[in-house]
Amino acid sequence: MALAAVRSSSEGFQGIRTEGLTKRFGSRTAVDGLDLQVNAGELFCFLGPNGAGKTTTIKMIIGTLVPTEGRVFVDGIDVYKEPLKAKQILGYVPDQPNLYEKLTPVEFLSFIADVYRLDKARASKRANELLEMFGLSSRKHEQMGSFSHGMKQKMALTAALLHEPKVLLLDEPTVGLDPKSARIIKDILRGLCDRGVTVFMSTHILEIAERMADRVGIIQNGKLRAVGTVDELRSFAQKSSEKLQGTQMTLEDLFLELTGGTEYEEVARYLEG
Amino acid sequence: MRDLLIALRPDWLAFRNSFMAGSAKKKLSAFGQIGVLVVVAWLIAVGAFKATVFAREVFGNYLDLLHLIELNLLSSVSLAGFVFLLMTGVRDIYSSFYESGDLAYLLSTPLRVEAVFFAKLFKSMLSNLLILAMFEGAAFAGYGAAYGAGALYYPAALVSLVFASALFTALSSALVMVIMRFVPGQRMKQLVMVASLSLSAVFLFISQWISARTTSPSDSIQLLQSAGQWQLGKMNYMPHVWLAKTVIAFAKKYDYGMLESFVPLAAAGIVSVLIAGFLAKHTFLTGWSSSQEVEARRRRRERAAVQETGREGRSVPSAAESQVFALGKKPSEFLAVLRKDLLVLLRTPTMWYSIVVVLIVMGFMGFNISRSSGIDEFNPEAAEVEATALKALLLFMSLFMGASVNARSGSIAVSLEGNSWWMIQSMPIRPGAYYRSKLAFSFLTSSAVSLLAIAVLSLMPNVPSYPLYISIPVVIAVGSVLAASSLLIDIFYPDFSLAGSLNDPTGRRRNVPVGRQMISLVVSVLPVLLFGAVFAFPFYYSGLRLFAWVSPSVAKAVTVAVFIGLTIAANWVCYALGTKRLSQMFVGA
Repeated sequence: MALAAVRSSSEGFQGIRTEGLTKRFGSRTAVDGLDLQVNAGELFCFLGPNGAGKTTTIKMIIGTLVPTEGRVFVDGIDVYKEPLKAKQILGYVPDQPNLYEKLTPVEFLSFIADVYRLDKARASKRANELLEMFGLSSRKHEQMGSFSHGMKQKMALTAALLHEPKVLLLDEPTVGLDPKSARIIKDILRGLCDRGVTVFMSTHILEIAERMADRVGIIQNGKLRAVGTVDELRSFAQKSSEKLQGTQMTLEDLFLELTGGTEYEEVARYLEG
Repeated sequence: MRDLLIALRPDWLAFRNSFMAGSAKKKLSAFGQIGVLVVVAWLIAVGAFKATVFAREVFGNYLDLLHLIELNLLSSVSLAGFVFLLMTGVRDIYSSFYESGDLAYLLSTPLRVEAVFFAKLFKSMLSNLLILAMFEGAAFAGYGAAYGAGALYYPAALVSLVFASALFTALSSALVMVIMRFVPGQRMKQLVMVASLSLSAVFLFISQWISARTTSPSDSIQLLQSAGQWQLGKMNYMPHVWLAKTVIAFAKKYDYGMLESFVPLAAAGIVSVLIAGFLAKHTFLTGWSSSQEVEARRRRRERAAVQETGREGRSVPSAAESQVFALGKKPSEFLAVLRKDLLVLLRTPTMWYSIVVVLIVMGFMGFNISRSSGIDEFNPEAAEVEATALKALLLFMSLFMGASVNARSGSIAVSLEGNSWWMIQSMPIRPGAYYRSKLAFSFLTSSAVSLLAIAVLSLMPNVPSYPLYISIPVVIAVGSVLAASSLLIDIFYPDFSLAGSLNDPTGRRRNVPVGRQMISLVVSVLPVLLFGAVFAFPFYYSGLRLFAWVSPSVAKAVTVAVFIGLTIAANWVCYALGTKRLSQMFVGA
């Protein structure tokens, strides 16, 4: 299996740590003093409504958006002091998989292998395995411009996994994927975590977070509202809200409660006529 | 009609908003562009006015000759306008009809396909009319003013241009639609490129043929007399003659009747629009669907074969198949980025198209010089001076050609990343390596043209040129500065939206915007001029009081030293500033 090689390299890994991470765009604060620790081999789901600051946080962790304040460490490496060292162990899949559309998957992966200075023979074998795993082998010599959104998403994930990263950051990875592809990606992510890779992903699909995540963080208006396992969050919400006490709440209830789901109540009233 | 108006509304609103809404900077830019067009048109009109007045003064007593000259000149103006539209227009029409971002949406609505087609046709027609009005309309206005034409003349000239624009746009769109119906998108793109290129080559051949027929007129009067022999006005069945005759008929109210000028022009315009509409009804939707298809037939067949045999995803890859990359190469960020950019360049016809056009222009230039240059046996001193000047001119013309290509390719080396810029940002690429690979890309695209031009010129008989051991280092030195300066601009002012569209597999965007090309060209030309001045130092230093005492050998040594020093300094400054900015960009600063 292509993922097997990851295990040995992740021993003693320190995970992701953010300290007072803040990003302001003019007068608007997108992320406000975020303190977070994601442990090695953990699958961490980052939840929040649209515009809450999830993508901004991920971009700051990956080192493509300078924080206004605060610091980010990946395996103890300060991402903004030693960006090249940090990026060598990071893998990133954005929400919009904009790839080099004039390149074929093979050309693209060869480019990635060169940039990460991977051993060509090993990278080539791994690329083949990854393409096979994602069902892209039959189209590996076609330009990626002809690919569907889902195929591009899988290609972006293939590229992110090629250099066997210790940390994988994914921004809404299952958006636009068919159920089969979404399931494959979920299985792969779980498998990666079992082998010691740290996965940090944002998602809107609460079912994914509920079933897969080791821990969940909920962000709203740039502030971390809650962090913990789903059970911990459930008990936290029940303690803090009278109306939820004694109920069998789902993560959706929890999410709406923590993020002030007044819009949801308005929608419910509208539907009731 | 209702459908047509609805389909036109988004374009109209976008146009209106560029003037009414948006920032002051955008409004200023929009009005500035109009201002430039007005100034150019004014200059053309004044030129046409003066030329007409001059012709009337000289040939006033020979009316037949005057009419012949006027008809030929106006016909050639019309023909030049049409050829210009053909050179750029076919590609623009293809883009407007098949690559417009809103087409997918418009065609999914209950609007009739013909309405969508006519909306796009109308937009292209207006754009072509603007070009015709600026060049031909201004010339016609100057001509009319010289004859004191009445108030009816100007609207009549404008209406003629409307019909001319309709005729050209409709015929071109009909041609594109027919090809689109039967040729897959990617191949079509290249076909259109080749067609445009061939037309431009035909235009150049015609201009060469005309200049070869004329007897190198030594003054303006001889030039006008030569114009009378061009025969362009004799092609009574051609639209450029109809247009010229219409203008003359309305300006002077004699010579040509409506039946041989305005009527055929208007009828041809209307009929061609109707034909295009008929074709659109039957082919537009199918052609558009075909343009969205980027998969080559061969690949489709291969995939179909795999699916048929049911082998897809089940076979165990053989040892050979398990290696998908070419092995044996040492991993290098520099080569990885450069290889990727060259692949994109190769697969983006709008970029290499300009390289081919420039090479054709250089070929014709060489042809012209080889035809006209010769040693003056009676004045060898003057001939030597002429040859020296000519070879310096040709060397720097080659560099200008490189600069011209650079404005459309190398100067967008960073912007070329487009929407994939996030990938570069998230990868462990050193700014220095990235800069060097982009510099190499920019240098290769521009200097390759210059070097090729020099090689071609050096092979031509009777064309004076420097020995290659001088010209090649000069091209490499100046080319590196040219590439570095344009790259620096792109690093500081990248336009990822532009290149993102160039990267699109269907070529979902046309070309580098003219404004950006102009800025890059100006910035590229400055180093060429500076190096030109340094290179020519041994020829003019004796005229400068400060250097009058310097011996020729010292002057040459100083030139070489300054030349090398400037090259190194300019490259070093660009590298230092460029890598500093890149390291900021890589972390989103």
